[in-house]
Amino acid sequence: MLTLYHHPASPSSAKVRFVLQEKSVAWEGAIVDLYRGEQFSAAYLAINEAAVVPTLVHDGRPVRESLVICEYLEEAFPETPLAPADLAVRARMRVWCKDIETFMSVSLAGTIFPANDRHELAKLAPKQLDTYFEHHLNRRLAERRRAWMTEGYASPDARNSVLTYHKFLQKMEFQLGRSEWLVGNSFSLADIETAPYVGVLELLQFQNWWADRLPHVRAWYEKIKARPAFRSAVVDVVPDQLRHDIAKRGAEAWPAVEAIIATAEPFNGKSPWAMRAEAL
Amino acid sequence: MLTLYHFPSSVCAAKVRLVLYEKEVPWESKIIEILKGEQFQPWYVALNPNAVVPTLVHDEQPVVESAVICEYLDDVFPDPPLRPADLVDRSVMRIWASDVDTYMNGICAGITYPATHRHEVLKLSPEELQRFYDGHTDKDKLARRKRLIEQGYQAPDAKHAVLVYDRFLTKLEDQLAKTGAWLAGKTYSIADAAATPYLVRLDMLNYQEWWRHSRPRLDDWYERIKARPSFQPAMIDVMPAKFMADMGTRGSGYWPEVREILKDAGVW
Repeated sequence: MLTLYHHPASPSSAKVRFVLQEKSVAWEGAIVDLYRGEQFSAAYLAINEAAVVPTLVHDGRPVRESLVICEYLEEAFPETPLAPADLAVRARMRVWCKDIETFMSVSLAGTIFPANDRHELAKLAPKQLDTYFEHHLNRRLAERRRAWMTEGYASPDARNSVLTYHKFLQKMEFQLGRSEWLVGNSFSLADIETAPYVGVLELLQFQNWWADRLPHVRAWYEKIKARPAFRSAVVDVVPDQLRHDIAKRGAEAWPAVEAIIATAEPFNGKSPWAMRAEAL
Repeated sequence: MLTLYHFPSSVCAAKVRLVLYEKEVPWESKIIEILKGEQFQPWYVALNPNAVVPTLVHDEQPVVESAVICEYLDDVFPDPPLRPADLVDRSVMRIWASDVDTYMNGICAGITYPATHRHEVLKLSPEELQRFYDGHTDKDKLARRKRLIEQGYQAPDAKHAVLVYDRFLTKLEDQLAKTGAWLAGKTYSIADAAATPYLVRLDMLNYQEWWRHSRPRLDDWYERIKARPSFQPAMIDVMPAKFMADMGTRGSGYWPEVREILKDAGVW
């Protein structure tokens, strides 16, 4: 029996759903309403002390951290393998996944919160909002979120997040110019882990981020979208009203995001990121 | 053919050496003098674009990131296994191995630099020092490092590092209370290898009182770690004798200052 505690619009939840659907494993979903602070409830903290989604509960035992959950599913359900058989390529896949955690995961909040989440939180009564921030275990994140609520993309921290996100997309572009999928020439957990971070930009109607600038990313994302598992795990799972709200807010926020992207340093083969991709 | 590019006192490199000795596979050692900036040489950056140790080269294929290298070694040399057979325990192992990297790697520099590495770096000639600073591509990291070198334990980063380290020791103690044996369950695993260098660091600095004071399970775990045949070659024999001696002497002198930081914060 598999239960996934997740949120429809969270990329880290989406990766796990994507793996479950690719493997055609039956699972039950339990939505954790992040906009109402449900992740801080005692019941949820008992299975996830870090108060983040997702958590997978398999036969009563919780497994945490999206990347770790995906590796867990790969080993627990080895049919339809999603890790390369070649062990050196598998190591490269793990390095790629670690890079997503290090760069994309940490810059995601600053990239999308000013566009969307802050409007959801603005619906809370002032007292509820205070409680929401008080519940944060990570004080620094709470302070950053407060800044994003009031300053939006003008906050230097949000700006840096957008630039980091952009750099990672450029790294993808560089890599996809050299191989068919992100790591080597077969679809793997590296693609699954990355796809929701592009999917969330599409939800926000930020497609222009890659449509003209990053042709390899565009082609890769088309291939990803053609996979039925992606559609059901990442796209269809978002309720219509939420999709509509996110799209509307994202469209309003896009000019500010685009203005930040315009200031990014050019990415060339000499940057450490590109060299890293080259060495892989 | 296995070659490990490493440095004796690097915590990330040490965990890979532990795994190699646990598996008893032969490997060739190549030291990269990270305190002299050798990691920034173009040929090394071509192997490891992050310019950090360790790098494993297996039959001419480079493998980077210490946590990934450990899993790679367990994939390629499955006997003895260093990942728990129980898959949920294995997920716990992965969280520990990755959290140690994410949260403790920089913190470890924060407690070591003020006591020892700082004095090594201050020995460099002005030109060498400049070259060392110039080699850093990450400006924030460079600024932190400069503060540690110039202000020692009085640098705000160092005080912060001491308190995070203390919480890490408590987390280890709590986890061992939960499992009763090793960090990720009933068997020794990569999680234990990943945590070992952080205790060795305190041990070498003569800061043993830090964990012995109030963490009996951690003390017992560390004794069991030291009794394993992998410990001596991976953690001790590799260290230059003078470096070990300097670290112990210098550390002994700094322990009262570290304990003061803990007392001031009300955690001692």
